[in-house]
Amino acid sequence: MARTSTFYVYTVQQSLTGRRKDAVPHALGRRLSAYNSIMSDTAPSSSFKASIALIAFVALSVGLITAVLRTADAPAIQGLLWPDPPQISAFSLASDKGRISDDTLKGRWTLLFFGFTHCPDVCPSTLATLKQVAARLAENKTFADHGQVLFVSVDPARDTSTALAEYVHYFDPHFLAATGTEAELNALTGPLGVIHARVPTGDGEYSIDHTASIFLVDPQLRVLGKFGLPHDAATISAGFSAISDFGRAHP
Amino acid sequence: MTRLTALLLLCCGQALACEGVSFDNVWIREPPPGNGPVAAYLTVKNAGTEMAVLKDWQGEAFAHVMLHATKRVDDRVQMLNQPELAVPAGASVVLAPGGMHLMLMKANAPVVAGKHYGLSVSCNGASTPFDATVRREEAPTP
Ligand SMILES: [Cu+2]
Repeated sequence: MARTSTFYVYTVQQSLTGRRKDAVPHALGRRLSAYNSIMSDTAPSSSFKASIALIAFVALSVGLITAVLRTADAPAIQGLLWPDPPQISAFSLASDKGRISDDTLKGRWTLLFFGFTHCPDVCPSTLATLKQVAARLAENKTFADHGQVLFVSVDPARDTSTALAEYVHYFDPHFLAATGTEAELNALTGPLGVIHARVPTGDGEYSIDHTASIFLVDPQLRVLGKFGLPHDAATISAGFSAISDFGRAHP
Repeated sequence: MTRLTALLLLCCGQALACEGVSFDNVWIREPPPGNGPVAAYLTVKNAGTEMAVLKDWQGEAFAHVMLHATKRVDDRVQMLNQPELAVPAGASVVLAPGGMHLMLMKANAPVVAGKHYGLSVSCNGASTPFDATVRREEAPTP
């Protein structure tokens, strides 16, 4: 009887907290089993049954509270990369306004997106969405004071930094754009797991198979957010607000 | 007389080859500055009784035109050339942002909102023209 209750409590606790085993009910379970083996030669009295029920109840409550606390620590924010967010390492790219590096990102909240100008379908849609995101976040103090949007071209052979600037300023004159050599690009894309590879389109031209997620980088260069396809302005702006609040609360 | 027969053949051969196929809601997305490719979108409706096979897309103001499909693998995207588009009898195929588009390459002059362009495609072997208007996309379809 006691074993069954203990097992039940442990199972419930485990399923509530997910992957990580929690120390409290586990130790409690061991103590309970030890107690049970000492008492095994005596017939369980009703007061014994009651105390087992009480212990089981306490264990269940502890499990529930632990689960609630853990949930509060890592809330269900869409796009949040937590715990262990990737970290941007040192990089340097060319833009129409000079070099853009990890220093450009320090102290700012950056929405970062990879693409190329010979991408007439997805890239303009994403930049138009980011323009709407910026408009929706006009009232958000974090974005208004410290927000920026950076478009990085993974096609340095066709995209010059001047042409890139004209391309993004069509959407919003505040947007930044940069590109670099293959090695310079990899310094940024590597830690993010961003893939970019040339694919011939059969007419002597090529397209670039690339990661189309939008990343949110915090002032300490932690990549706290990632928004996959399809890109939706309402989701991304709500995600920016929630993730930036979360990031400030978790320095 | 021979000319009339030729005209008659041309007209009716074409009508038979691509009967009931229409090109609706054709629009070109105004591109940002630069001479990169431009995307066009449309709906092909086949109200006929035969499968319509479309290939060899062309545009009067463009060096060449391709049909591309945007393929998503996890969070990656890629454009794939589609040599042919088959539209079954009674069906419609929608070319829309994030799905399929016509890739208009190397325009002879800047493509700006409000301009009209003549495009064409070989529909079951018959060259079929249709018109497209350039518009600025303010609210993209994700
Ligand atoms: Cu394309």
